[in-house]
Order: sequence, then C-alpha cells, then structure tokens
Amino acid sequence: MSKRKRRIADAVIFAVLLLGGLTMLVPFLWMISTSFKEPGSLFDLPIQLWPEKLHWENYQRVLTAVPFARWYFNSLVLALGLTFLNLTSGALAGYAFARFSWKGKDVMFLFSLITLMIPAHVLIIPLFIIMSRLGWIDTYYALVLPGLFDAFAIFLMRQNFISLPRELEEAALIDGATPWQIYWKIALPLAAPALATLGTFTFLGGWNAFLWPLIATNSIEMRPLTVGLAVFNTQFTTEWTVLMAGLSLATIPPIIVFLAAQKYFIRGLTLGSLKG
Amino acid sequence: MKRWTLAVGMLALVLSLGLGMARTTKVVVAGWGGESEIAMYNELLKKFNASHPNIKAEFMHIPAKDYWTKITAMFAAGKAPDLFFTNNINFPALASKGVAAPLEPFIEKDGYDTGIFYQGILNAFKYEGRLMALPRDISNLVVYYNRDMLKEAGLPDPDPSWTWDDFLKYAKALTKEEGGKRTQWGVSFYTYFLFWEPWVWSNGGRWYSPDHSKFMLNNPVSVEGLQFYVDLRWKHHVAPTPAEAADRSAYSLFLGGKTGMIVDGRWRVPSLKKKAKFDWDIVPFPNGKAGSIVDIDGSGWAMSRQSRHKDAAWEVLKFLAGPEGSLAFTKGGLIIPAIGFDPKNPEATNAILKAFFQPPPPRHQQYFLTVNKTAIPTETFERWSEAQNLINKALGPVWEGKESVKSALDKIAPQVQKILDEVQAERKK
Repeated sequence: MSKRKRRIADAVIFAVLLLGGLTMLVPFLWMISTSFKEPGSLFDLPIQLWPEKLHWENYQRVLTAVPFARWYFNSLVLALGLTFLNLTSGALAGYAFARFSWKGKDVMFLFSLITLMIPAHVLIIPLFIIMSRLGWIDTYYALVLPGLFDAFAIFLMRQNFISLPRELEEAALIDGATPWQIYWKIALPLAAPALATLGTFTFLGGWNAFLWPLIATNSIEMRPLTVGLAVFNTQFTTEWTVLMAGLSLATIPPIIVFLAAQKYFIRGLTLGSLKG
Repeated sequence: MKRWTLAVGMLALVLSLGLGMARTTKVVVAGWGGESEIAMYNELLKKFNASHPNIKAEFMHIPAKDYWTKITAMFAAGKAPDLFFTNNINFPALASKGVAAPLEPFIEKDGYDTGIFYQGILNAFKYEGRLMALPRDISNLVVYYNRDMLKEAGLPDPDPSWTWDDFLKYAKALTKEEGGKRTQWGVSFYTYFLFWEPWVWSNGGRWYSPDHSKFMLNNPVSVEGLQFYVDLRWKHHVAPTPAEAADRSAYSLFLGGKTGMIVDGRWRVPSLKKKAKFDWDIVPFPNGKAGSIVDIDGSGWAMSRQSRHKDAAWEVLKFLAGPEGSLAFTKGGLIIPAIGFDPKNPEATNAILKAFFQPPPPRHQQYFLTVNKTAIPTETFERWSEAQNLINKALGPVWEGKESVKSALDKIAPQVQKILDEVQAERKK
C-alpha cells in the first residue's frame, strides 16, 4: 500500500517537474525554430512549430549585416570583467566584514546594504555624468568599472564566510599563517560553491545588461550584443527571425557558464540541506 | 643644427595640426533606426562630408528602446549631440526643458525657404510659435479597402469626396450575418487614439483649444464625432466587438479578409503587397461636417541648444532634411517624405515624388500625399502624456459599449483641465 502510494506521489512529482521543465524549454525551442524560419513568416497561420525548410540566411544576415563578432567580444569583456571584479571585491570585502573587527564596521556594512535599495534608473544620469567627465564614455572602462563593487556580492560572500568553521582558520593562525595566507589558502577554497553561484549570477547579469551599456556607449562597435541586436527591433517592425538567430548564438556562453559552475553550486545546495 | 631643424619641424607639425583641427568641426547627429536606416545615414553623411571639407558629420545610432533615456542623460551631462531625431508627439515635453534651439535665426540668416515642407508637419514641430525642427517624414491615415469584397457587394470604388453617410452605407453593405452570427464586418476597429482622432476633427471638433488652455474633447461637436465612431461598433454593428474579434488585431482581420475596410497608415503597404490575397486600394478618409481631416504626425531633426557648432549643425540639418536627404530616405521605401512638390524646386522635388511612387497596388498612392493638405498634427503639449493617460482610461468602458462618450469624458474633464491650467501657469513663469 505504502509502496503504491509512493508510486503515485512519484508520478505526481514527475508530472509537475515535466510541466515545469517544458515551460522552461518551450520558449528556448521556439527561439531556435524561429531563427530558422523564412523572414516575415513568423505570424503565418496555421502556426508552424518547425519550419519545413531551414533558412540559414537569418544566421548569415546576423553575422554579416552587423559587427556581430565584435559585439560578442564586447559582451564577453563586459560579463567576464564584471564577474572577475565582483568576485574579487566581493570576496575580499565579505571576508573583512565576516572576520575582522574595526570601529564603525556595522555602520559600513549597513551602508553598503542600503545601496541595494536605490533603483538602478536613478543612478543612470549621475553615473553618465561622472563617466563623461572622466572621458570614459564609449570605452570598456565605462562599460565595466561602474560594476566594480556590488553590495549583493559583499553580502553573499560575508554570509558564506561567517558560516565557515572558525577552527580551521584558527589552526592556521597558530601554525603561523598571515591573515592573507589564511584568506587565500583556507577560506577562499572553502568558499568555492558561493563563488560559483555569485560568478554565475554576475556573468548572467553582465551578459543580459541593456540599459547601462546603451547609455555608456556611443559607437556601434562598442556595444554588447543586447544593445547591438536591438537594431533589428525598430519603430514599426521587428525582424524576428534574424533577431532570434542572433539570440540563439548569444545563449551559448551563459549555457557554458552554467554547465561549468553547476556542479559547484548544486554541491553547495546539497551540503546545506544535509546539515539542516 | 640638427636640434634646430627638429624644433622647426615640430612647430610646423603642431601648427598644421592646430589649423587642421580648427578647420574641421565635428557635428554629431543622433537618431534611431534599423540597420538599413543606419546605412542610409552613413552614406548620406559621407556625401555631405565630401562636399563640406571643414565639417565632419557623424551619425550616432541609439536604439528606439530607451532612446529618450539616453538623450536625457546626454543633455544632463552637457554632452548632447548637435542634432537629434525626434517625433512631434514626444517633442513638446522635451522642448519645454529648453534643450532645443529655435531655427528661425538660421532660416532668416540663410534666407532658407521652408515652403518645400508640408505646412501641417511644420506646425507639428512648432513650440511656443517657433520652429524647432526640420521634418523628415510624415505619417497620416487613409482608408484601405478590399476591392474584391466591394465588388461582391456590388459597390463601386469610393470617391475621394465620399461622406460619413457613404462610409456607413459601405460598412453596412460589407457586413455579413449567418445564422444570427456575424462572419464579416464593414470596418476594422482600432481603439488607439491615433486611429480615431480623424473622427473628432473631421466633425469639426478638437481635443484642446489651440493654446492648450481648454479641454475640448468633451464639447458637443467632438463628442458627436467620436460617438459616430463608437456607434460603428455598438449601434450599427458594422465593426467587430472585442468578443467577435477574439484576439485578432484590427489589421489581421483586414488582412485575413474578415473586414472590408480599415483606417490605417502607409506602413501597411509592404505587408499588404506581400500577403494580401485580394485586390485592394486606398481612398481618403470620408468627409464629415468639417471635411476630411486626418492626423499628420512625423519625425525630423532638432538642433540642441548645447551644440557648440550651431552653424555647422545647421548645414548638416539642411542637407539631411533637404531634397537630397529626403530622396535617400524615400528611395528606401521607408517614409512618406515631408517634402511635397515645390514649383520653385521642380526638378529636385519631382525626383522625391518619383522615388515615392512605387509600382501599385495601391493604384491611388497619390492620396497618401493629397491628404496632407488638410491634415493636422496630434494636439500635443508639455504634459500631453498625462492627459492622454486619463483619456485612455476613461474611454476603456466606451470601447466595450458600457458607457457613452459624453459621460466618460465629462467625468475626467476637470482633471484634464487642471493639468492644462498648470501648464498655462508654468508657461507664464
């Protein structure tokens, strides 16, 4: 009886998961199918789930009509640069907030958290003014550096370092390790799951960023993919098939990043659950 | 000796660089557009630069999405482009911030003739009586009709002098009922304001008084015009109700041969040419009490007040908006040119018209141009979008047949009037 019950429960769970998985997958497949459709035929009735003939010309067009490779490179610079800077600054600041004490530490931490509550749109114009005074508009500096510090990264890393057992670090201290050695050789390797999670988030954030890169760049060559591909979306018409071809190519790096980081953060999740 | 020649050489180099820099002035033109439009800009400006060695004009593309955010940020930072593309509907809100430079001083100094542009579109770019932009293109409305459907109903092609009564007669004849269910309608129904303001104007109504001091959309003449439009759907049942349309857009109903007529813009031509499975043509909007008055809206380039090279920017502006620029954008099939036939410039303006007329359908393409003579721009002002939101909201139940135009508009009239009063007070400051 209980075995049968479990089987029914399993079936229900699988059905729910399957449905959830499909809802995630269908837009993705629709994007790929659209990228192979004949230009302008997207809204033809009846709906074509998969085109009868593969129209590679969408890919040809997106690769030749616009500086697609350059945009791709810019997106990589933006997303990887942002990830590197955020992991570095987030881990360093997070470790300091977790392990050291100094006068005004709590106030400083509070202020860094408050910055999370300021909507990004409010910051756009002051940030643009600062960047243009520095002469950085339309350079990689303006694209990447405003994301140097992120309160969320600091917060996430701090929480992670606090949860690590202090004993390990104390043992290292007794052995004569310097604070930097403790951070670099003991604490940071233990924080790998948190770093992988933060890295994935930051990479995706940078890869998908639209508004700031639009504001920070002037020339077509300096744009990341998100802003560049908007050229196919004009006032009256959108070239869906070409746009989707560009987007299909654009989803490759996030998938790679996810696959690479996946084993770390799934481990991080399960570790937590075992403890509880 | 060696050092001396080097010093002279350096001096000469610095001087020549300095002179060279003083000679070429950089002019940045910002605008939105797809990649074919970017190519048109680049090609045009290359031509301009070749004939103007002391000016270097550059196009700065900004995607239409968030175009205004970027423009605002650039103005705030004091780094505005010298010229920027704008439409007339967003323009007053921007102009009220004092970002655009009036063009009259340049027009007078140059003896420039603005007579090549349609008056309606020039009026659309006036702010506080001064011209703030030179127009590039026009959007207006005509009636598209399904000729096969008309023939089947025994109706001749409508004459451009037709009236609202004729329109209703056509719509009724084109509506079909089978077993108590309508299967075909006379006309598609849009609820977006751009598509129905001609019903207000052609009846002699207005939205606001010309100085934007008084709300007039709830005046009897305005209401009568709009009510006529609403009645097409709810009284005469010649336009599909939301339930009947069942998520099909006004245009897809026409394209699918479910409605016989639609009031729509030039942008439908490429799609109809490619996809319509029936013969079709266009005719001007039917005549109401005040004639046939549709909207003439459009876009063009304004000069920013921050520009440090206004004289050079004016040269670029004249070139882009003038016959040469207009011809390039028209050739691409992109626009209805803002330049009409000008007897003073017969050759140049004729070339633009020739580029505009592409093989039929529609057979009567000239109507896209002739309607401009009586058309007027959408009545916008500094806080137009706030007032428009109120009006849109109030008309919601009207589109669903639950309220009359009069009662819906009377309800919000005090709120709209308050915005207008505040605008007046703000202007006097």
